[in-house]
Amino acid sequence: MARKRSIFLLSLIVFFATSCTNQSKEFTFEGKLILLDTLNVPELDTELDEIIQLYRSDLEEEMNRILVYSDMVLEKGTPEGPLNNFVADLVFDKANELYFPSDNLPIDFCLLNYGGLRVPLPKGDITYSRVYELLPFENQMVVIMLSGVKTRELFEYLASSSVGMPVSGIKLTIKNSLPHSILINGKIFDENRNYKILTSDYLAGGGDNMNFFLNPIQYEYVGMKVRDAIIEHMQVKHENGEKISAKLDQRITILND
Amino acid sequence: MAITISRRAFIRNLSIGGAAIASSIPLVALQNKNTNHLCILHTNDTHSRIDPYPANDPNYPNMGGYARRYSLISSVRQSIEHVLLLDSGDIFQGTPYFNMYGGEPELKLMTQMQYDASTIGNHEFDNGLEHLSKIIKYADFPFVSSNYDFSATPMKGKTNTYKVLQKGNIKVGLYGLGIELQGLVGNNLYGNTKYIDPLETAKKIEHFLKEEKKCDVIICLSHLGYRYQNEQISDVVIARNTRFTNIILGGHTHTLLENYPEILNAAGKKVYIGQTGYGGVRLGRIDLYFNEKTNETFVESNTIKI
Repeated sequence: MARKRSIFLLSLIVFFATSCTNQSKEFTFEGKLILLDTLNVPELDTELDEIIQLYRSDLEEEMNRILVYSDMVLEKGTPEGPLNNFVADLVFDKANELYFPSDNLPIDFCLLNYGGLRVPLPKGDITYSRVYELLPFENQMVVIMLSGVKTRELFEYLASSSVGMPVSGIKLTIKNSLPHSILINGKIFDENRNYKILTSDYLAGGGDNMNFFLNPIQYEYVGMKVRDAIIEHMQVKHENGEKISAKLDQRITILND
Repeated sequence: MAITISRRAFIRNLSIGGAAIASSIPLVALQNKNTNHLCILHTNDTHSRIDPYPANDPNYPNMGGYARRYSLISSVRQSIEHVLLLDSGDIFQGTPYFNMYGGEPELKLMTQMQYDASTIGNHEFDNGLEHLSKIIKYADFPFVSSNYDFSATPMKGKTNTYKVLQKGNIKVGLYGLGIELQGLVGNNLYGNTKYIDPLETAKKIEHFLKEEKKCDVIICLSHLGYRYQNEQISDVVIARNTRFTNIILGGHTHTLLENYPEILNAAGKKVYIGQTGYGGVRLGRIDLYFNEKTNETFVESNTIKI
């Protein structure tokens, strides 16, 4: 306490001293941003680039390493696609492995977004770099608890979407751009209960206009990135000598009018 | 001296001819020999962009990269005696370099480039505090972080609340402000880090740097973001409500501030805010010309714009 007071007194004295002598320097300011393109800075610093090269060559080798083999081309589609189902299913599986909530309520289903799948996966070799191209964003898996009413909004969003959102754990039929029948984990959707939905932190923040995720009842991190979930799954498959594949199973279907 | 002048004159001619690099040469110093010149170079949100963007990148073909940045930094250092190199956080995350090496090359390379200081951005938490506490040793420059209390974490004692740097007869005070972590960063990643109100922190530290440390210029390295639609704390809010902070070098919102907006602070003085966008595509450059006395009117400087 005494020390605090003396610091205070000292700073008062200091303040007084500076305001009397008025010796602080003034300056003029100029600022600009310099674009680091080949015109402004044609040369790379060779010494630094040599250090980078040590990491770069290792990284290239690593990124070109084969992670797993694929039995088929996995492409995204609408209302569902092999890539949509593949990614959503295994992200859902991985989250279930990692998720131990205090309320003991499991995750009900998974929703990701079509735009988040950036490239198809080819048949044959799947490299690390291909998975980075598929999912370049650093999104975390999160579990969102929504009311039944908000969950209905989610299904209305899915039904009116012009592209196939990756989902897992649901079966949805759509008629006239509206949900016609909704099954969650085999059970009919109940608007009077809450649901836990696995998604990415990007979408949970209202990305891709998924505004129903905003102001949720509960928001929890799973503790793994979406891409890392995919990579781990592929590593396990590869270690077990298995290839990856995906099926269409009419999880989202559009009924004729 | 004659050599220097003729070199500058040469470059000035170049700059009239349109070579953009010449714009980095201080012409004002020629006109006012009594002026003390400090050049501040700065980056933010470089996000592990160690290599230049690929040649087929639609927006930034071949641009950026650490080696290109360092090439420019070196050329500035050759022509100017007092240069500060600062960063405003989010060094990590964005390319496979980070996923594979966990931040080690970024910090080693920034050390090689002789960065003077950086601050802790939200992505510095991406691999957790235990990991950060282990790799931060590769940075031979301070992380200035004034409003994260790491005392109950593995990062205890590994950051600086403030930093005072002497450049010639100019005394520079640095402090650092980090963004609210809850809801932005997984709580398993930031652990027991305590987030302290940035504005209250700024007021305390700027006062200390001004009155006790007698700094001539006070710079805030901020990862709060430039400004928001809502009431969220931002660089603009800090600028308006402080009294001694002269410059805020920001980040997080990836904002491109080409003209360093001026904000009037609580004492009616100008605060300059800088931010360079994303991915190290640009390097910010500030030139400060100091004069010993206050209340003196300054002649507008005479820089050739290109």
